[in-house]
Amino acid sequence: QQAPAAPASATDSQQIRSIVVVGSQRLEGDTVRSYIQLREGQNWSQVAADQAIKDLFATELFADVSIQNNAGAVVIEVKENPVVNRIILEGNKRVKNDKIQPEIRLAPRQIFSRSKVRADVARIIELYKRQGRFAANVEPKLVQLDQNRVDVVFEIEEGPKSKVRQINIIGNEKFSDGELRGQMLTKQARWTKLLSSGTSYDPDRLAFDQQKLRQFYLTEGYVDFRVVSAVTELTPDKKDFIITYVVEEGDKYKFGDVTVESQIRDFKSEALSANLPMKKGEWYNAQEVEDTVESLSESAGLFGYAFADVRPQFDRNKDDLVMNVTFTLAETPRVYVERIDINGNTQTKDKVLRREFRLNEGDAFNSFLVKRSADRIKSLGYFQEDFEVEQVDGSAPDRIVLVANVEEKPTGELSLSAGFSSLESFIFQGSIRQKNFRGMGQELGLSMSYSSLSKSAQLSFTEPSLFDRSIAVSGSIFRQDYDNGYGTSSNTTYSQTTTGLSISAGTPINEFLLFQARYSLSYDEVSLSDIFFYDPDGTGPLPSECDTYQVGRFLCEAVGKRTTSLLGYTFLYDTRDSRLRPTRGYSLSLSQDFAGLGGSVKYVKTRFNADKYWRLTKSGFIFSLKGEGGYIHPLENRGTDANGIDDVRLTDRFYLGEPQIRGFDIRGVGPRVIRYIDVDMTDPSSPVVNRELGRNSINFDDAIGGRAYYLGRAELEIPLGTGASELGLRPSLFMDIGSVFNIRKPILTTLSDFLDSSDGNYKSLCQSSTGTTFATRVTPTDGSAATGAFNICASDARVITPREEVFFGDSISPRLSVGFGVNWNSPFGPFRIDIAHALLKKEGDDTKLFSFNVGTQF
Amino acid sequence: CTRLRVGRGYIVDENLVSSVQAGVDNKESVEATLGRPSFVSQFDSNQWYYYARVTRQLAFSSPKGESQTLLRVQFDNAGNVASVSRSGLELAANIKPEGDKTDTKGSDRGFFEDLFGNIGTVGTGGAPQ
Amino acid sequence: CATLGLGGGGKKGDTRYVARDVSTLYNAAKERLDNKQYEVAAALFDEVERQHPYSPWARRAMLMSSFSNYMAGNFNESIQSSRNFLSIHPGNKDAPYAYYLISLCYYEQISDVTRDQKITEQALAALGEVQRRFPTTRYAADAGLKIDLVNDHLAGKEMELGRFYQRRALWLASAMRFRTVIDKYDTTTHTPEALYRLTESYLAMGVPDEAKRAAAVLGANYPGSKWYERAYGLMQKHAPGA
Repeated sequence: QQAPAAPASATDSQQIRSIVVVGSQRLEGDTVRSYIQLREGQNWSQVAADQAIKDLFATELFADVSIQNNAGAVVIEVKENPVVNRIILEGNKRVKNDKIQPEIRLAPRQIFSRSKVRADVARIIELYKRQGRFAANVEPKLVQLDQNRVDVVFEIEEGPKSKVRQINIIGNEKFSDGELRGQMLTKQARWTKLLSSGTSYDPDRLAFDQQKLRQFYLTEGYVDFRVVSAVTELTPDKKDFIITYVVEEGDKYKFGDVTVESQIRDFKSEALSANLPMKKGEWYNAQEVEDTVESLSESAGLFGYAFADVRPQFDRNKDDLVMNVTFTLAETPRVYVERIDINGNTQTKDKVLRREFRLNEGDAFNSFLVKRSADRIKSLGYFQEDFEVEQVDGSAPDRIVLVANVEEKPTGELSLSAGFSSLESFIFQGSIRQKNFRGMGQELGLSMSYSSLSKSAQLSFTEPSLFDRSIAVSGSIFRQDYDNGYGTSSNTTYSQTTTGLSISAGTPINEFLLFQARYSLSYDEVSLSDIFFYDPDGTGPLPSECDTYQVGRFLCEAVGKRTTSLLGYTFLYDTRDSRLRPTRGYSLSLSQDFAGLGGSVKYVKTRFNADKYWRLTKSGFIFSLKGEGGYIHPLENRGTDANGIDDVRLTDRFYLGEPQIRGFDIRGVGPRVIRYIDVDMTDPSSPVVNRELGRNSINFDDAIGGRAYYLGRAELEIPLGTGASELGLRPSLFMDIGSVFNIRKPILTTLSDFLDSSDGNYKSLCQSSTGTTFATRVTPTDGSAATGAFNICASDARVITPREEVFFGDSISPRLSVGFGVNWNSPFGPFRIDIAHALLKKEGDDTKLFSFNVGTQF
Repeated sequence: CTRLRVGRGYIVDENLVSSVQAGVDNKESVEATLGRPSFVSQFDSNQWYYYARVTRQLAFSSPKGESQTLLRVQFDNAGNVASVSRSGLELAANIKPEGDKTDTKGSDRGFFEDLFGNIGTVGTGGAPQ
Repeated sequence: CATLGLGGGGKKGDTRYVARDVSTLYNAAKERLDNKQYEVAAALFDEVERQHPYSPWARRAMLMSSFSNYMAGNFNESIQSSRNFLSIHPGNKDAPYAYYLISLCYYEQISDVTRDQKITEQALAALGEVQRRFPTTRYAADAGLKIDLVNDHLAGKEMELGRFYQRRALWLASAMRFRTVIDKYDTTTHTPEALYRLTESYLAMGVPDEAKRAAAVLGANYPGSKWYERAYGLMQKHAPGA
């Protein structure tokens, strides 16, 4: 700022007759006059003039201002700040323009001012600091243009990117350097950490690291822990930094006597201090104290003491290293909720948030209920991660206003993913989902998946609270084609298309128990490729029939169309801490489905399912036990032992194999019919059956499922060192046990069907419109005895070579497999690999050592 | 199955409530002991109401009143307590709110704008389960 | 003041607008505005101001750009350029129009009652400013009209919340919301319904004489309204004695 050049006028007390503004091109005279206090008729004084100059400079519109007063005629001479024409960035290679542009406040057509430029320079340097470039320097330059316009050029020198090369910790005996480094956010620059930004040097993150260290030691019981010093030096080549912490661990404390002291009149504290998690003599743990404070205020809240405030008091006994803790339950003043305000919901409707509140306007303020409401709103998944319900003072001392300021996240999701799994080879999946449809909290989704084994499409819709009541209603329309391709792999050869719709409604009975009722109507069509069909009378009127020899009676019986209309319910009791990756709690569910409300299928299917999780030690071992079981009771008798048809249809039965029980192939466990077609007939009196199975054999292995099944799984997730777990690797040991059983034995074709009792030879059969006869064999013209297989039939007849069907696997005895698996959230998608060996298996079961599944999203 | 019992409105403290007597207390002393009222009558500022209700709710049915204490403190013009009366659930009527409502304007979002309006900002899809 | 074609500072950032003298630029923009190409018109008016900031046309161009953005529905840009205009020419004769344009921009974006009403409050503030600063202008008259509509809208939000609480049988909370409508927005079209809802809520809370008074006020002020008939029916049914 130049000093105001206001020459002293002749007499100070002279009156101002006129004020004239000179030199303003853009601003009008009276606009400039409107900014200052000087008015005609006032007395002229130097102080007033200085004030006017200060006001004009404050507007930042003027580069220079001067005021002269020659005998009452006051002349204000101004030189306006130039107008910005363009903003140019030079020298920014690492950080692109579109990253810097939004940081700059100065814009074309605005008035140029030095303070705005200085602010923009600081903002650009801050941007580079966040990238870890501390040596960045920005030099603003002005290019004068005509008509008092100016171009602003920011010349940027980015400087080298400074990384943290080494973190040293001195003075830590109880915990290794690696373990302590694991607690910190800043990481040492290693090749494995190419992607992570944690390796750049950031001073405020260092302060946060010290806090994390302190918290870690407190949780381990080292109450006197102190960070003596944290020194950062440049490496000799001046490119990176080395950080050295000097720590003083102090000694490990134990819990002394831990009591609860309640100041609330009729709130007995003995009951509470009895079930405190920490016992006298246990190692002190700050985290446990914090959790107890929370659980105490929770129980106070539950007992309706809305105004209880729990505060821990510590008294430390230095010599025998004991910490006594008393939790005082103080009564806070009675406060009521005056109003709940919800702002920022431009998409979501107000009631979607308001109905999540566990306390309402007019109710007593209860911090526990407020926290629960905030958790419920966060679990909706529509808003920012760090959402909190703020408390603002109300209109009276004992009134409070709860304010929920939300920032809406995009809730529409378009995800395309491709994967390869040993189960279905290539899988392509695509889904479009709107989790907050019409802002009503409803979810609308369309998902499609295509693989060599199955193609499916599903449209689903969910309304979490119908008529604002706590009823969650959801419906879906689905279409699935399951055909496993004849001959490519050794499992069943039929194909099934299901089209249907289902609607369900669920409501919470209490905090953990959920009841859900559902109805589903589906139309199934099971079909075989037409090479399995045989037209007995050629092109005659008779329709072609399913060839029981080729395919086996049990499959022929399953072909056809049917509608299933079923009504079902489920009770789910769930106390797990999270649905995606539970570490604590258990869940039980019982569900039953009654098929037969119309439709051609009648059965009652009951299923039971339970799982429990334990976090073993603090180090992160997670052990889980899962149990499952199911039974179908048919309500129609479609078959008898004589015709070998089971009352439950093939497609409704239970099947067991990969992926439910690892170590076995798809539907590899349980009742099956193996059809040996590979029979060597050279010696007609004693045929040799080749019982080999697998890819290159023409024999068939068809699982036919069972009416009941049980399955158990024990899994231990092993925590890895901090490095590996950061890559998202989660290995686990597991043991799977289970079986599927109880099915009526189907009628089988055996070799004896091909025995011609007349001469004791096994011959092929000739099937024609007239009937089935034994095949003959060629008799040599030279009169010698005929040898070779009987496989000659009349031209219009069909030859059926001898074959044998054997029934295996219908037994309750458990199949057992143990194995090792790794879950890895790789940068290009989730990856799961399992290696499992079947220890106990029944004859006929198909085992499989190795399976994997990888999915990518793009 | 268990019903969800929830206490709404004012927290009643028996001996505090019974300590308020006509002729003895005035507005300041009532406010000191009982705190500010749940609401003051709209048409007569000398009538204070303390409304407390315990509701019972089975699954998704709407909550029914199980028990209620409504304390009405009537002051005279000088601000002293003229009368204190308590009533329970017996006066509460079972009301079905009227369906009709006065309409409001404001741009409502079209169907497709709802579905796709937000898709432009594609979030990272969840892992394929 | 047809100054000769100014060379200008050489190449512009966006090469589409070559430096041209002010009147051709202004007329091009005006012509685009007339045949409803609002976005292009707004951009051209901005160019007039950028290339010739000191010509009298620049002042006019700022307002025209703001108007074009408003017509094109880019409300934020329109508010931005109106604010620029006001920061440089607060005393100008067109200032009332600029304030009025800002209030219109907010007014157009008011969303329905079930969603956040921050924009509605901004509209109310902007309209209030037009009325306060320039009471005699025709803009103030129209602003007054719009203020009533905005208040009606805010009252609608309170009613929506009140009905929400009624559906969940939270009668005390609903009564408080309906009372805010009567205290703050008593001149709006929602007052009769608010009084009726109060009758409902007070009856459900077991405070019949408050319900009776609410119905009485409703009857006194809106005797013919359907809400009074319903309130009267309710009182007969539930608290004939009161």
